[in-house]
Amino acid sequence: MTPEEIKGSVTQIFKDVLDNDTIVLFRETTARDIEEWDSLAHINLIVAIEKEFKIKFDLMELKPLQNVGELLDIIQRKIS
Amino acid sequence: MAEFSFYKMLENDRLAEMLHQEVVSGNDANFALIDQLRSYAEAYARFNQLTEAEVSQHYRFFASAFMRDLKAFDKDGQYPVQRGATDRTVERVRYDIALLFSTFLTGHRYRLMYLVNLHFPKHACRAACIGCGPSLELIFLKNRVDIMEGYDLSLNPFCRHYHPDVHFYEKPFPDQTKNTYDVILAVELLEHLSDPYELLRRAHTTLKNGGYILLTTATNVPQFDHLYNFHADHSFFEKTCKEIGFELAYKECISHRYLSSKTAASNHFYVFRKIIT
Repeated sequence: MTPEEIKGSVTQIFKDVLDNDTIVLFRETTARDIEEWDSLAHINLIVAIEKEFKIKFDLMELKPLQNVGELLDIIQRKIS
Repeated sequence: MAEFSFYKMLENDRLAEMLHQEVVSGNDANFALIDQLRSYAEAYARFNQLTEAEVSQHYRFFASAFMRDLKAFDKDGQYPVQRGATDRTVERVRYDIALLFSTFLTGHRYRLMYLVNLHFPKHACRAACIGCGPSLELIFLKNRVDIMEGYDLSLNPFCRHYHPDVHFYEKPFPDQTKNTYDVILAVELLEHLSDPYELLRRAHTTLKNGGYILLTTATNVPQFDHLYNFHADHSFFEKTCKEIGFELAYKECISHRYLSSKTAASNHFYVFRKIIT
């Protein structure tokens, strides 16, 4: 998958899980930029991403993530 | 129907699996304690004939409701009761599930149990747990006392079933004779009272000289049934406790971690000793 395809899929996941069709993701986007993205929603997003890409995250991989860009990077690494 | 199993629940609940992973990988992870907490929660679920799916659903419901209240608090700094939401109730079982399972799914709740276990005196003659709820703490405390009492306005029958050796009272903590208890527990209680200092004065009266009270406060935790928001700066609280007649033996601030909230939520854990007169 190309980075753009991954970003497209992740954006759709965000829209579905957070129930907001207007979401636009940038690499710098963080939870503070999206109102619906709270702690519970975060885990729901992670679960949905795991299902979509058929990957599984380790907690230690997720803890240091600062923004959407780093999330996309780790997805790319895991599916490569 | 197969008996409830937390590990079976994790097979279908990735949320719980990830939360639990965070607790067990913490620096203070005490696996014997975590095992006790988990076993008790499982026993509660079995007694109340709950399935894994039901427990998951109960936990998510409570967590979702709290997230909504936290977002509202971020905007206006008000607790639900301040906004007039005084008619919200939660079924006792659902509430207990949230209380019990959060002790091994949420870092700050686990830390509280860890500290209670660590700081409760090794032996005491008589102790009271005020606001005992599902009475989880009693599993690792009651063997350290000769007489353990539990007070709460509403108790699930499970408590008496699991702790036949504890004296439970389904009523407010009453005025007691002086010098009754060696230890009083008031964990995650004070924020539920409109006047927590009134209870602290009563607790002081009923403690023996040199007796201990283990308690917590909550700051910026907008749960639906919280009435009192302790200021982040606890100097007034500590000064008042000293005036009541307590000396500080231990304190720790336990921060809550919420992803996007602007609010600095926390609990403070305290051990106070009644000043000997």
